Amino acid sequence: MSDNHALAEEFRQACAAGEHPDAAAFLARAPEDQREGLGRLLREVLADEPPPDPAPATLLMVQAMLRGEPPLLELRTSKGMTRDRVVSDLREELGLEAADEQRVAVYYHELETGQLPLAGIRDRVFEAVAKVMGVARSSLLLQGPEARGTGTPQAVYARAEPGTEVNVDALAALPGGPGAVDDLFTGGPG
Amino acid sequence: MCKEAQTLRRLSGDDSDLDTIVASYWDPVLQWIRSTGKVRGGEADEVRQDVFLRVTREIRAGKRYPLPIGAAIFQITNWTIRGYVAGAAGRREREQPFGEHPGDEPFDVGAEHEVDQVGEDEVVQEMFARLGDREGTLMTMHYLQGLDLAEVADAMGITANNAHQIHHRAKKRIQPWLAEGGT
Repeated sequence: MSDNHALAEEFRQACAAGEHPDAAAFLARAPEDQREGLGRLLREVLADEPPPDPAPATLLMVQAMLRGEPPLLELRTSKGMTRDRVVSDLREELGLEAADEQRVAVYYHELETGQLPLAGIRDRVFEAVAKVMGVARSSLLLQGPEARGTGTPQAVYARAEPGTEVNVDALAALPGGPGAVDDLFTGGPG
Repeated sequence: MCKEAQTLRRLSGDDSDLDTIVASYWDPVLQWIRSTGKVRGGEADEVRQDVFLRVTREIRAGKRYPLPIGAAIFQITNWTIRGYVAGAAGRREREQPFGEHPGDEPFDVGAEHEVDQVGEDEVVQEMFARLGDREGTLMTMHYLQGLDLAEVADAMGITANNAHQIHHRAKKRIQPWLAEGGT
């Protein structure tokens, strides 16, 4: 069995065991000139394997999304977590200073209400949010601005208090200039 | 009957079915995207979002895919990745009329079934194209995209009565072609 086939078989077994294997991590384990071939094998596995039964948290987030409500907010409230606690845990998980908490709070609000473009968010943030929320990273349902069309667009803001929509003014009003926090939430993929 | 076929059969635009489909494929679609190595990090999440925006919109509009739902979702994922990589992501796709997405190809039905339905679809598409703009568009939306005539009328900006008349006229024109073997 070639290395690629061995990796694909490992991927298949991890899928079957419900371990949410990361295809990108598997690609990274192959020599660069063999990644395209491995990618094809991984997609064959995904096409062949029946989809896993969705985790309750994923179903909850999908249902919120299809109703036009923010999935991350739905998940947080279902777990009885306050936004302050999530922000605090997220800051710690990202290895940021206590002084960064307000800035993290601003971005988290944008993230939770679907106002932050997903392509700008660093991998570390996805992983940290998933960990704080207790779900697999790949199961996390974050919405960017474009996704509000899945349900009733206005509903996304329905639960936000008037005047709490975040914009650049909110960030500008905070002490200190743009830095690590801004890079994590808007710096691009990777 | 396999689970997918059962789900497909049950598909009725009912959101409880849609919930299950989207949630079941939420994770596999992300892995599919990441396995291509073409988009990274949050970009992959953005592509996934675009895939499911399209799938939910189409299923809610009554679209029936000509292959199992999972295979359809993965093919739509490929098209979305291609569009995203080419810089034609979401924004442009969402501006297209129903069923017209840049970069789309016919569903590769032959990949899932022994019968080469792709070839059959192509023959039908050619026949509808010969009908001309209005009749061809209506027949394509009705028979190949699965919309009922009221939805087609809405999409074409005509009355339902007018849609029925065009449908009737198109069927009469097609009948002799079918009798001649589609030529």
